[in-house]
Amino acid sequence: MDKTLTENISYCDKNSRILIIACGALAKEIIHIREINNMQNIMDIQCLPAILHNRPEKIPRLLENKIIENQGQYKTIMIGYADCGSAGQIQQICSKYNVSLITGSHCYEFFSGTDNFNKIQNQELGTFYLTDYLVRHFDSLIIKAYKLDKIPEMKNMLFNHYKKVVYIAQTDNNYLNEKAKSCADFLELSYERVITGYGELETFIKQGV
Amino acid sequence: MSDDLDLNDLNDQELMEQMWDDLYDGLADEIAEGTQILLDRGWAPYKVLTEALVEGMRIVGIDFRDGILFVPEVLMSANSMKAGMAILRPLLAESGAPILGKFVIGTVKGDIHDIGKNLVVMMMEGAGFEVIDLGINVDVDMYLKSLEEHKPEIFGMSALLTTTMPYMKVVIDTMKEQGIRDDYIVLVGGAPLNEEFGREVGADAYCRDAAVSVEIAKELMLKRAA
Repeated sequence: MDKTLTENISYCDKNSRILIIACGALAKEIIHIREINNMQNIMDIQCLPAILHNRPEKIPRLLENKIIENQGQYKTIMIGYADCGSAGQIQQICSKYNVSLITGSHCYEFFSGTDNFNKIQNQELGTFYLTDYLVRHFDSLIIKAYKLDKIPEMKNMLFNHYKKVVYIAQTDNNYLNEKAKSCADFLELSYERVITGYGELETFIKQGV
Repeated sequence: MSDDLDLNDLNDQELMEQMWDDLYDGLADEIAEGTQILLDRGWAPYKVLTEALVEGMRIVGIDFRDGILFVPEVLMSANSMKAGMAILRPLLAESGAPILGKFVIGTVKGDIHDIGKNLVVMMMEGAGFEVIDLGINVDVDMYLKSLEEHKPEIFGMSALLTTTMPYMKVVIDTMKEQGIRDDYIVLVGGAPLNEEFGREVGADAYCRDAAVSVEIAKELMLKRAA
């Protein structure tokens, strides 16, 4: 895992008025959104480890700790998570501390937009999704974490019902496109790329500001 | 397990404990071998199931619940259990071993995610339930047909997607319309669900994971019997 994603990413002092506490898998995107919208002086970003993508049950407690740690130091705290497999627990934490989170089930949905995501989903139920982050970290987050390299039969056990990889791309990047194709080849699934940009993530951040 | 360890050299207690370790480590061939050795030593199939396999899976279940084991390890354990069950299943049927109850389960229509469901199947089978697994993408007609055919005590549905989990309510509402809802203990589970959702759709319980499913199933069976 990229060590920087487990650490605070802060470009301005504590007088900043907005804090985004986000999934480490969104760090690069949020930093870029902040830059292109000239929000460096009003926004801080802190991330929880992206590996929690694989252990969503651990997110709520860590997120709550992070909110408590920063409560009172910022005028606004925003949460850069959707439900993310937490079974509504992230929403409960956000309600408890009166902070906003991104609408939707997961990053695939808010990058794509709900209607568009549902269309993609309905085209093929057996779709495995990738984002820019997941393509970059496919080896650690998917292959190694699920032991696909060590236990050959694991691939069939986990991906037996999947037919297709859809790469929901935040950037039009040839390197990532080729890497995503190789991920699909590794999983022995067909491949499609849908360029979505930052989708509702950018809207969420701008609305917060 | 060490390569030079011969399971035949172990006494019953040692072999049983070795099988718990082998289940934990997901060693299917060793579990099949250990199962056969215990049977050859005169153990009843039900005793092998409960004392060697179920106890081993109970340990796996606890460590999965506590976050010590992750999905791949548990899948390999379940796979090993399957290797033992393949030997035991016909013998259990022949010997009239007690079953705790019948359990019908399937992943709901529109959803192909079955890892959690498969773990539940294995844990429930290991706990002594007869399990009828309907697979993935199961519609209401298939669920009801299966309930009619198998008359289980417990009926389970799983979903991984927020877009598919509402289908559980469609199924339960249809059961209510047909007046059969209360004939079954209805359990629901899956990553995006929670207790509140379970209550809202009219299930008897929401099961957070496979190990919890077994505990809840047993508890509700006892309540119903009382």
